[in-house]
Amino acid sequence: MNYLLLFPVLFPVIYGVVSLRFKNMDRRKRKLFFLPALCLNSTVVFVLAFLDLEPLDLAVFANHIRLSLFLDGPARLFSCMVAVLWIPATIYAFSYMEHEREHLSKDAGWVNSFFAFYIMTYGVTVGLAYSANPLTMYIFFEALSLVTFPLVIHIRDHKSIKAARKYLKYMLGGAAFGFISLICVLIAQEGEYFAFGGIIDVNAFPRNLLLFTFVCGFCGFGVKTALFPFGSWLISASVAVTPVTALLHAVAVVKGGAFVLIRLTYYGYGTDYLKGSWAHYVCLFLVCATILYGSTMAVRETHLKRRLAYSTMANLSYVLLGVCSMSGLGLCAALLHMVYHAFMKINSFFCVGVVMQREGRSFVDECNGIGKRLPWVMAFFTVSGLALTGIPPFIGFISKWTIASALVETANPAFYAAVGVFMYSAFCTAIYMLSLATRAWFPPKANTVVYLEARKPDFEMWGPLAFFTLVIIILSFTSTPLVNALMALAAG
Amino acid sequence: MNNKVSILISVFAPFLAAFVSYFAGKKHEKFRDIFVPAFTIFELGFIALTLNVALTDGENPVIANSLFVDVPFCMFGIRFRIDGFRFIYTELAVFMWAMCSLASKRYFLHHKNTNRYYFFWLVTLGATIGVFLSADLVTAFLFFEIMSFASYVFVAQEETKEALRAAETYLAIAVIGGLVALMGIFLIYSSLHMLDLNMIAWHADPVASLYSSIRIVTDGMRTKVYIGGALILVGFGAKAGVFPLHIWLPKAHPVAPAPASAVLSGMLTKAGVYGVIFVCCKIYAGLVPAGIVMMILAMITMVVGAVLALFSVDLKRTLACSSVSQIGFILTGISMVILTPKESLAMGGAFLHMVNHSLFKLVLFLCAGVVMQNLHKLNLNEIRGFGRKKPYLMVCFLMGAVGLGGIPGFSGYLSKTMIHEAIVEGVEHFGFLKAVEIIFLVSGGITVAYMTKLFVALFIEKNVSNEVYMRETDIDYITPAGRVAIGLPAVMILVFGILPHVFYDKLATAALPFFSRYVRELHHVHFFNLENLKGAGISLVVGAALYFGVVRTLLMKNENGVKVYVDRWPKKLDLEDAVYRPLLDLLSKVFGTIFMFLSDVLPRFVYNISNIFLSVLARVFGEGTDLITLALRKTLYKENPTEHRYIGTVETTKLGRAANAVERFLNRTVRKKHPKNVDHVVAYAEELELTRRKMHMLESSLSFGILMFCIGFCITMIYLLLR
Repeated sequence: MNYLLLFPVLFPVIYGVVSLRFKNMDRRKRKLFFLPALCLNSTVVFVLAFLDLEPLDLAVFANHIRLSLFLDGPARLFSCMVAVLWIPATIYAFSYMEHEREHLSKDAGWVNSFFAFYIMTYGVTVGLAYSANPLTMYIFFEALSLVTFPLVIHIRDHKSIKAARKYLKYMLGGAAFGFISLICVLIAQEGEYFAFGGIIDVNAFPRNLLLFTFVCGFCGFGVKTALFPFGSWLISASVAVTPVTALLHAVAVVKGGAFVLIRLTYYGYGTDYLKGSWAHYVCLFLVCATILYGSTMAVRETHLKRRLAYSTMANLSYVLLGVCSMSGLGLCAALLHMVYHAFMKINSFFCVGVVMQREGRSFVDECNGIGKRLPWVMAFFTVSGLALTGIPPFIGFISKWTIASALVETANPAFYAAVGVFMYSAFCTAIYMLSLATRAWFPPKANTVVYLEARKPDFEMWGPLAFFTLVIIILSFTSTPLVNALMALAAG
Repeated sequence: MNNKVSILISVFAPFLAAFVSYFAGKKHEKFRDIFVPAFTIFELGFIALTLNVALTDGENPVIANSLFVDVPFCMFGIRFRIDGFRFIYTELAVFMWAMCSLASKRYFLHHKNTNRYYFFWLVTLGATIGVFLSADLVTAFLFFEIMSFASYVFVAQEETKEALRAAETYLAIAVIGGLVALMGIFLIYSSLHMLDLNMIAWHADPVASLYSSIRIVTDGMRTKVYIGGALILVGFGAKAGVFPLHIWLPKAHPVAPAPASAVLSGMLTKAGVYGVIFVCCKIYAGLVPAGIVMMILAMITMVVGAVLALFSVDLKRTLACSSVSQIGFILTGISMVILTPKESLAMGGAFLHMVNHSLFKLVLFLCAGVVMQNLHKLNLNEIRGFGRKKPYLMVCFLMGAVGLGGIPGFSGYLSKTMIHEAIVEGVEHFGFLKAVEIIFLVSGGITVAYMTKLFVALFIEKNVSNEVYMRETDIDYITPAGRVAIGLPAVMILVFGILPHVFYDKLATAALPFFSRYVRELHHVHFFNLENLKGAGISLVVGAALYFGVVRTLLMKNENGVKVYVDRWPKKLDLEDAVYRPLLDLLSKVFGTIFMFLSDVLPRFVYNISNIFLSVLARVFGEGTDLITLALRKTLYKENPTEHRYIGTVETTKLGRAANAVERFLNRTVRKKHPKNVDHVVAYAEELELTRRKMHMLESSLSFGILMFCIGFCITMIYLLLR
């Protein structure tokens, strides 16, 4: 029965590889080809989330060194989140990529290969979620970097090639640092699978060495979450097509990094061991620096997608701030913000994608009065902007409040400083999200320039936006079950 | 109907109505124009009929939980409570909305985007009711934020350049204030783990908290609560217009539509005051340093607002600045509550002044709206004389003006007298209140002066151009609904003022429990005795002196034989332009530069430096190996050519000797002239040695191996093929 765990990991990958062979599908066939597979996979993920399965050992190399998949709380949450997001994102991409193809005058194979890699990434991400031990996680982590590389480079112009090279360098370099930590955990490992509270034998290595490897791991895997000195790949990678920047560089890949760090901290090294150590403060410092950096740069940036990319950088570090509080509440907060930010950010990115593609406006000051041209899209954007700022009752408020609670709970002056950073960042968020919204609705001067022969977004484009907005609003009103479930999870 | 349901209906009905008005208004504007005032009047009646229990039953507040009783809304759930204060203020809020809605139709006759305006108009109403009925901090904050964001639309409504700039300021102040308040709420929650206003008040009270069975409050926790309170004060104070965060008021009110200005000034500031009262009267009660700080802020707010109003030459700007000043009066009352927490006078005075100020600003801003809708101008020089031969407008405006000025017989006098009385009584405990009293009376005087300025300009002076007197033939300058909207509150000002003990005593008594748990009875005041009339008299004298001494001389000048009002306020003396915006720019620049340096310049620098360093290192190592080899060759492994002798085999020796013999023979015969002298024995030996070495090198090389392998392979293949 537990072999079912393999299905949502392997099926999309195989499906993607196979679909690379079909180069000449048109838009309708493409839809018929990919959508059912996606729905099937997501259904399986949902069903699995409700089952209670034994861990699955794929291969055992030595006593501790094995490849295994399992399902626990965070795995269920992360995989379900991915499963919810992937379908609307793909639907959006159908319309977006078709338009992009016409714009760049590419052939159908170009679009099809995009979807092939897109669906492969799905499988790898689910694999990352299901990973039961550090080795498996590491393998999927690397695979995630590699499988998204073709998506970053997909436009194949000068800029995207440059960005993709940078992407690869950062990812592989980061993974190398993560490898140090991996080896250490592998050697010091006591249990076979991740367990809440840590699995390493703390006496296997000198304390400082272990802490050093933790910092290496935090920075190395943190490259994926755009931790401060290593985050510039995320900004460069925003040249990729919007479905990639929205789903992968705001959710799947970067959240994968955050997920790995949650695993490493709470399920690998264990918070009891790390709490209060110098490594803890180093990580906290890096995270705070990232938040300051991301928020400030987002305010200064005027390119729409890069602005959101900076915002993603800051928000990922909110998740890590929850991780850094190293308490049960912190874990709950981190997971909560991971999920909530996913919805808010993917929605903002998709809205911006519509503005950029359908109206041809890529900078903030070009967006004057866009609300009158795309009222619904900008309404959705405004909702996610308000939510991202943390205006109650929207979901951003809930997750931010939880993170701040987790920080204050530690009763440590350093963490009060972190709360201050948090507030500064919230203010910046208000500026960079709402300034765009106010420009859109209340243009400073009438903008009569028509940038493109604008085409109204079709259902495939605004449908997913409406869906995400609806989810944001519903979660805003009834997030207690989710919060309680996460609290129970964080209690052990 | 039970009270819980009616509370929920009264809060959420406006939100629902907002959507109805928006979608109905898209097609049927006429329906919407009737629907909005009708709805607000319905709401007014509904609350009055269903929730009036609050006035009689102030001791047992009815608590209504949120709509989702079992599914808490947005993490904490929302909770409402109704008591005397909340009931009166909710009613007053809905009353203001109703009156303004009545006047709105005519005002928006030729305006764009009215549908959007009405949508946010009703949303703001619901949010304001939510703030006033909130029973806990998060509920208050939730509705406060909705109110801030929805009312942003009022300010930006006209979409002119000034409006958008003012809206930007408004939004910035709202966001900063909101975040700071949130921080304060968070701090209080994290120390006490409770959100309910009354519970917090109870636990913040050093005496009452001793009887708490829920939580033992330590000094550390109380300090945290005090700090949290200060932060909430900043957040709500920003909305109330307390100095130095008052900057949005004088900018936002003139550009907003007049009905919106009326509620912005009359109600939204009071929602801010609601939070200020909570912090000051419930957390800081009896905390003298806090009282002194608040009193200083109150004084500055009062004076700055009044002086700005005196200098202003714009009708609505004057009124807006006057709002700042009046908030200062209210804050004075509140500060007195902190200093003397068991005296009812300051509480009653502060509360009644809130009510009064709402009514005055309702009347005055709607009058300004009448001016605006006819002339589309607000500058005093351009609108002067508009009110001549319009007795109805004049009487109403006069009511508001004299009320605001604190003339005995009108309601403003009552509240000012109560605050004044409270200050006078406080002098025996705190000597500095003597100075406060003087500032208070002088500010009252400035109020009289600027209201006189407005009144004279609008209703007495004549205008040079006749444009002002011309009427559009088809429309009256004011609609009947507009007359009601302005007249009703004007009458209230008069009636309340004449019969203080009939209305205001009861209102103030009902509101007292909100201010303090200890005070139930209102201290009786003889409003019309000589002592109290003297205070008003001083203000009047100061006002007259200021009007004739400053306004008519310094603030006016002769231009072509006509006296015109001039704006003598230095342009550079603007807190926002001189301090806040440059500060923000500076911050952004500093942060930006630091981060650009850290993220861009520094890594590049480090990269370059390390590049240079590493390349030098590599060069050193690379070249160094060669150098070392060379050095070794020259020294340790130096080859010694003299000692080297080639030893041949027997064959080479024989061959060599034979060759030597041949050579000797040749030397003697053929090459007599050029003989060759080579020792062939040695030469052959050397040749052999070299050949051996070469063969050895060849045999030990990979290529040779592969070659041999290939040859062997080929042979094998050939053998296999041929077999």
